[in-house]
Amino acid sequence: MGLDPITAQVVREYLDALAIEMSTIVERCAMHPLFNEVHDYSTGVFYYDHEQTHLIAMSLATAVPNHIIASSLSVDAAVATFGSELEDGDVVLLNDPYFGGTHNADWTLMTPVFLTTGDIIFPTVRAHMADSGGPVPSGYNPSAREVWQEAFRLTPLKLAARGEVRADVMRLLLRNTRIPTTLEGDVRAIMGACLVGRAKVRALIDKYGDEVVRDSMDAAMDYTERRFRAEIESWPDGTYRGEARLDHDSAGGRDLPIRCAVTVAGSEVTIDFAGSAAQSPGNVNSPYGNTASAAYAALCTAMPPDIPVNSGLFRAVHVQAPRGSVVNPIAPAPVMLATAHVNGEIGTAVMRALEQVVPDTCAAIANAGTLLSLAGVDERHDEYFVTVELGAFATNAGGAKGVDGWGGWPTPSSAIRFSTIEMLELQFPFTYHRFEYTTDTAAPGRWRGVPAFASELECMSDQQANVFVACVRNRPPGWVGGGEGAASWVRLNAGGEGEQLVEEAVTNARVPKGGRIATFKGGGGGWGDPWTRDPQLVLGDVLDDVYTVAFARDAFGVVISGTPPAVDLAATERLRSSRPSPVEGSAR
Amino acid sequence: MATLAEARQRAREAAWTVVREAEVEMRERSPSAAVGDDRHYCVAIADADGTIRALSRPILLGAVATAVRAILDTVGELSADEITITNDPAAGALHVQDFTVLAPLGDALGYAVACLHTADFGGDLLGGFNPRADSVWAEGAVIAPLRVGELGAAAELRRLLEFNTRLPDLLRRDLEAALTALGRLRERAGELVEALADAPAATSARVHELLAAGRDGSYRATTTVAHCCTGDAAEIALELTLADGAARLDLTGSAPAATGFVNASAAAAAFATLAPLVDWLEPAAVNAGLLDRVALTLPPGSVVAPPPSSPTGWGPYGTAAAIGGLVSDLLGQAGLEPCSIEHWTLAPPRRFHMPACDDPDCPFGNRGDGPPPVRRPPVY
Repeated sequence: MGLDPITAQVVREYLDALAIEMSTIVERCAMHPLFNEVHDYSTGVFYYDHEQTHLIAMSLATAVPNHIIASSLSVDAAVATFGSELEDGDVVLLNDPYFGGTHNADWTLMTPVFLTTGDIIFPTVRAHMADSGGPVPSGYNPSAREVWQEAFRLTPLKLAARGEVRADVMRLLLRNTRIPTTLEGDVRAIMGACLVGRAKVRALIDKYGDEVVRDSMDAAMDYTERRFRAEIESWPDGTYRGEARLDHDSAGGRDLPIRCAVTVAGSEVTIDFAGSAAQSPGNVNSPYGNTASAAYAALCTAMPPDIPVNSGLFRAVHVQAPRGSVVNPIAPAPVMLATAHVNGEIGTAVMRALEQVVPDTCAAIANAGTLLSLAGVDERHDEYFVTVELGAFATNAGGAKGVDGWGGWPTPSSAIRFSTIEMLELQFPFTYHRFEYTTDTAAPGRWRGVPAFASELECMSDQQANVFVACVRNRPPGWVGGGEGAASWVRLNAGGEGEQLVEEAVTNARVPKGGRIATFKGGGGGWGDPWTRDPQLVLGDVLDDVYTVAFARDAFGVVISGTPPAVDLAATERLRSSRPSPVEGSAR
Repeated sequence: MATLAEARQRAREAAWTVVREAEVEMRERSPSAAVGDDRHYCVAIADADGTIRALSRPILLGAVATAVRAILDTVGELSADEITITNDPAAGALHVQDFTVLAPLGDALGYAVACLHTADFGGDLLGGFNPRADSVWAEGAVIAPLRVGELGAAAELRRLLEFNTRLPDLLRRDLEAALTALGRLRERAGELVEALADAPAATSARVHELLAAGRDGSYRATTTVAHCCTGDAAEIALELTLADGAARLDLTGSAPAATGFVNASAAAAAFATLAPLVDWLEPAAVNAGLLDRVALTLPPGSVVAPPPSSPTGWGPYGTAAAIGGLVSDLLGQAGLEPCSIEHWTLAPPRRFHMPACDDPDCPFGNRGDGPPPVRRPPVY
């Protein structure tokens, strides 16, 4: 008897809901603000069918695509490691970037649920741990030239065996972090999410039986594949090339090229990164899983949003990344920065190619630009802390057709959010003196980018800072004629003795108590010719202090005058017809 | 005809010889110069309470005793087929390059222990000696005492260890060498434990006799361990109290833990403090009986028992030498024979790179530059 399509849909939605429930558990139970505030983790359900691992469901609204797509490789690694030794009640853990990881800060935990067919379903969480040992707090070590200089390498390991947490393994984890209390809380929260996932999958199987669940998962992937292939078939066949460049690799390399050729042939897409920079000695190398995730994320952005994201999508896509390149390094190359850079450049290169195929759905996909991690003692509690200061990090999502840049994270990390400064000040020894968008920095476009974001925090104790600054020469690009975002910068000891403008990166810089760190984070690019932007929208931007009147005139050809300000339509028309768009000038 | 005491002594010496044979087997199987040349290893037998009955490298009594106690306190009961492994300076390792493998002897007789220095276990620098380290993780990854069902069978843990070193083949063979030594001791467990049953008591009596020859009283001395790269200048304070054939060695008053790698782990401090006393005894007679007569106080959080996050790479060398020197001086003041601890508390005699600071007198830069190392014959 064939599978009832209604039941198949119920099973699929059940697994989607389960991924969301697991996500909620992590958010509510984990301790570090990277989870309960920033949401730097993802949940999903994977299915191993004795041949390969498939992504079946993910918590779409709260997942970081970078995480969850690559997690299928980690499930593969766990299965390859344990094989028939996997047992009910086991929880497998790994963080090794060369075992399907993204970077060593991202820990993946999963638990098997066995079907009578021998197939296995894995509720899975991938989460960014604030500190996993290594020479530098947070692992963001610009001086790293080997993976050991970043963090403790966790190859696939059973954290729990047959339902029992292995005390010695937990002790091992806690011994390799500077924040053991927090890390234990986080790990237990994630394990809790996996175990709830296991119970709910088991309940699903009990209700519908192995075959219905398995066939429903296959049906979900088949549906995605059909929709995805149909979409690709509507694209003109051909090879489209894209390129992006990373300013530096913190190891002397400059303007590293990421090149891709996107070949559309019928309902298949091949993305080939041949010609990209060689593997770097610095920490920007992207393990294959991270590279594939960035490429898939760019493709998904170009797709209708109602196509369920699962491995059915991957069947039609082939990602080729040359071994020994910055997009598929050979161990022990350092990789910690991969999820920001060169990830953003990978996505941008793919999107540059897609811009030629589906310009209406291309958009900013570059991550980061600056990254600041801080560590020290919080004197209020006499406790060591480590965190990634995301006020210096976010807001790259630029404009897309029909919408201005919204100030969140772009697609590869879309679920990640700002912390509020009130919570940050409660949780870490920081006092913020500035935390705001800035004027005249949003990339011009018919749909403009997001304004650059500026923050200034005062360290309330002696602290160590690791900083990486990119997107200075190679700024967040515009699309379909839109302008570039602004360049980023970071100043340590801002306004004080020994002020330092970070040119590229610094490792373990000391910021004394009372010292300030100022950051300026360029927003994503604009979409479309800015001189075609609705003048009333430009007026709204001026009233919102996004732009000054002068910038509106220069960048958009919109003349605004009077009190209260209003668009001078006649003057605007004259101006717009008198000179070409200055889009090349982009944001200041 | 031999007296019973003489017969017992011969049995103890025979047992010690077995321990030495196990050590030789480990040394010969290990590819590490640190093991083959520097003798940075030890094999030991402990009873069911963790009391050291015999060890192949007497100078390491304090370190091995500390390690066994820390491991057993951490992991609790072990089944007969389990072994534990650790390199944790907070659990009895001299520094993170030192692995201790402990295995139960059948029928709860006791434990066999093997310790050795492996060349690398991750961290910032190949070799782990990092004058600029400000944490233990900058020296290497830390394996807190980990239960392993026979290491060869525990593929996941073996893989974890091998992926955290730059020299996986070397680590694998070092650990195999250690397991071989343990296997040798396990084969003869019953015989060894029986032969060594009264070893601590005999040693205790001998140490009492030696200490009783000194002048009772309290003696104090200090020294400073400097570390130009991090600006540390940590004072080590020692008080020796001698009374009624017993000694107390108290390092209370020593400076808080240093920022840099000159901290001595508790194991390193214990080894260095006891080393001059060990030197009085015949090698076969060195065991935990010495600790019946010598009490040791290491203040937690200090440069001689630093917090778990502290780097300790140089502790077994320069810092241990400083501590041993203090002990020796005070023994001399008390009218006892001053002894120096063995030369190997100095840096290993091969070249290895350490990033020096800008101080022209920095003692750490490019340590050991000179002619290529020559593998020396083993020293017994």
